[in-house]
Amino acid sequence: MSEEGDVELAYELGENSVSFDLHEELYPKDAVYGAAYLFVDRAWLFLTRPSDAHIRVRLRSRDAADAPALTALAGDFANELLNQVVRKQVSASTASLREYTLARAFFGSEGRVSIDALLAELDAEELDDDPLEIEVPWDTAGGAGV
Amino acid sequence: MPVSEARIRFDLDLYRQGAVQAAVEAFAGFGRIQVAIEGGAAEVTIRDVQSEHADVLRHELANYALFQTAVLARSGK
Repeated sequence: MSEEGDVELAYELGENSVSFDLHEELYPKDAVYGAAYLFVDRAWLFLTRPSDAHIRVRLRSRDAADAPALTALAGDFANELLNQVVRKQVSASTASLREYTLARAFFGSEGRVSIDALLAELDAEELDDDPLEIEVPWDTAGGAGV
Repeated sequence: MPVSEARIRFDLDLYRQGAVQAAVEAFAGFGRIQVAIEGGAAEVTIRDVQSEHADVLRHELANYALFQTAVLARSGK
């Protein structure tokens, strides 16, 4: 167990594994999944529910690992967990702003271009004017004898 | 070669049932794998697998189930 349980994540070291309990009110399931998603290549993970609103995470090292390595693994997971929680909170707090921006981009009157407007723009162009003579056939332009 | 049996109990409040099923199907070629749903849990039993591989297979199957659960959760399913 961690000796500074109040300021650090309390964890239990096992044989090649480290386990810790998370309160779901502080660390929602989605945050745990987000962190787990990034750790499946580093460790074997397993989730259990030791009691209501608690999730126990067990990280088992894929290779033989000593106590410092397991402690570092638990610390890295805890950091990523916190990162996921913050991302989730920022995402939730800016959701309405994102929706508003998206709605303006798609449905705002300023950026709206109708098919009729595009056809009118094409009609307005002087298609007959061809200063570079791109539409003149090669033989007419005098290149046939080359 | 000695064969072994391994069991994993997934809490379906933490793992999506579809994710557990996907993991069972993904690792079906490594042994005889059965899943039984009972009391809010999915009990996976792995049989006919070489004993030296049973532990790794159990961990990999659990990892895959969690990965699939995370993917489903991320996509809002």
